[in-house]
Amino acid sequence: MRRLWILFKTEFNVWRHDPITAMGGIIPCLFILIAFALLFGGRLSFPIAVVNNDQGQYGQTLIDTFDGVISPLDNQPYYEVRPLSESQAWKAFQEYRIEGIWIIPEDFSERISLGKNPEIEMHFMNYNDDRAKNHRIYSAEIIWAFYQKIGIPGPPLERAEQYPLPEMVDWVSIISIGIVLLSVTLGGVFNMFILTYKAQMGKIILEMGLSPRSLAWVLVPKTVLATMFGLITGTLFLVIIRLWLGFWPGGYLAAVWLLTGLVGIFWIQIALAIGLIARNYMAGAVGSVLGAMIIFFIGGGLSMVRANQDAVTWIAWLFPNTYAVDPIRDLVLFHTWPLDFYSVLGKLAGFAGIAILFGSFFAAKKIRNLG
Amino acid sequence: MSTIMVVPTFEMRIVNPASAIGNDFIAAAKEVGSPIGPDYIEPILVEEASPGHRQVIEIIEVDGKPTALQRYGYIDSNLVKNLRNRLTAALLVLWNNELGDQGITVQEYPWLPNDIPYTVYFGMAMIPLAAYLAAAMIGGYVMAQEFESGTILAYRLSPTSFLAILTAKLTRLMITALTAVVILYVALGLITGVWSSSFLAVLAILMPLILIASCIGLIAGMITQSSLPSFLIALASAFAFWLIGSGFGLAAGFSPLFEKISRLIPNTPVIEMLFPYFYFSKQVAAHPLGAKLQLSGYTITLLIVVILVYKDRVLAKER
Repeated sequence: MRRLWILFKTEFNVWRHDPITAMGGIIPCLFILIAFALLFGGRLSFPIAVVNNDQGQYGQTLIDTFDGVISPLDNQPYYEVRPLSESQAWKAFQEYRIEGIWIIPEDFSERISLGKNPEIEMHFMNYNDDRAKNHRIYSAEIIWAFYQKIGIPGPPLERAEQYPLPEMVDWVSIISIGIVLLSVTLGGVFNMFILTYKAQMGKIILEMGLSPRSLAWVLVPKTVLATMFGLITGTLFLVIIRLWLGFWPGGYLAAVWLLTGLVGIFWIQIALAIGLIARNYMAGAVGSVLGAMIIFFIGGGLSMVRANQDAVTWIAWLFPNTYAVDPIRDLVLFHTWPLDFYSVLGKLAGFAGIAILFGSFFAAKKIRNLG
Repeated sequence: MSTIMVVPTFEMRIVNPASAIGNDFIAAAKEVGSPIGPDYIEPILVEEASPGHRQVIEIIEVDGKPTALQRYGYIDSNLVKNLRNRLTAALLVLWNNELGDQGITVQEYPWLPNDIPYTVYFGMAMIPLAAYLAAAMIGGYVMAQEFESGTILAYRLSPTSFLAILTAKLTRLMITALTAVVILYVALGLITGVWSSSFLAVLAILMPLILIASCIGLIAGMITQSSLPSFLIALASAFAFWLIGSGFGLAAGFSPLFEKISRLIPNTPVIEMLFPYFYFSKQVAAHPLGAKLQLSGYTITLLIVVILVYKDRVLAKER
């Protein structure tokens, strides 16, 4: 045990000489969180212009409707109507300074009153199909509210909804938990790379290979230290989220550590194997770090996996992050014990176990071969 | 794009209705979609009124009125928004059917003849990411390695002009980044079937960004003098620039604050300049000349900074 402690302290000292890399789980993740908060955390109303040529009253009523129809995404109106003249509106639309133009024809009110097929022109951006989709389904919200406002006979089927919590969890918070998992992953990976890189640069791999003792004495401290730093960076990130977004796992913290720790061990073993095997060290490091980043994007980093199961590509299911991210969201954001906790735990333990097996095997093979 | 879960077609679970209005609702749900693109709702009939992990719609009576009640599971506001909007759109189809000639028709005039799949934009915005990442990462690593392996001493003692050395490094990084761009461009073209109208123009637009990234990489390498931290700096800046620099959509389509910050990032003017070459020659640059001047300014400034840092970190060291 004393030997293990000495090796552990030796490895720990390596970290002190490279604090920037030791923060590998924090720096990129913080940038990513800030970027997503800027992207989706601000007001997301579509700026549009409305050209009202209507001779009657309904055109203005329609314009007044826009402000009152609120999106759950950011608790702001779906549309922000900009006060532009028709010529200004077209210029702004062509230069993509506004998202669209609604044109209300001069006989709009008359046609509504007479029941003669009233129409509205909606000019809108469709450079990506998601934005085009939003225009179409947002316009439905506006027309729905407009019908209610002008008091025409009610719909044949009313609308109601139930959300399981008193307050809705916003999208940035969902993304932030994906980033917590990324933070643990990168924290572990970067710290393992510090340890293997120093071993390669210091040419102590030969000493390890010649050691008559089991290589577990060398590999276990590296794994423990890297996992510990992964968890520290992840916890620091949770603190950032607590201060910024207001979510904290509370009594579920140990469960969060367990799930993220097992994911971290999987990636740490990949880093261990690559760190010792790769002939071109940096290519291996770059490959594994970018791999972790890609898995963040395709493995539920941006949306809930359970709610979008069909959209998850099969490659993502080959990595533990995809299984772990939603139970962690349950624990941190929804403060509820995941129904699938133990089955997920089993899967993550399986991933970690297999990774330890392969990581240790390849690392030991490499070290002994050198010896 | 489906890999990051942005898909226009949503599966919506509906409790198998027993009433005629319920069947009409399902028919209406199938009508919600783009006339020039995909459907937005794929109704999935279920027996149980439990939202599970997502949602379920049940047709019930509330105060004597038939009502489509949508129950949500533990999901976020974006998913709620999308599900709510789709439900409203389907119910509006029913309402308009009942109103007949009194119902309002929204005549659609999209900007482009087709709704372009998000993959095309996403892919186009990844080209600057690839260029930046390759140049900054390799720049940082190569420079840091000179310190780690001690070859920096040879540069220090060399009679060759330091400008020639830096030019050679920048040229190498430009070639590497352009190679990354070509590989990604071909891959994206094969996946999406969309190719730019001028490949040379794409390369020319990317050149200032590649120079900027190369300079950032070289500076990181010279300052940290260690491979891993310089790689980390390149990685963090590349992803931050990609995300804030219009990686998920044109800057003007997000909040005013985001747009202001995004316009400071070199990726944004680059993407706005690339846009017409992928999107039927449509211009979206707010100030085309300003964007070019901005990129030129960044490039020149960083080239000067690289020279200054090189003088400080390499040439000014005691021999």
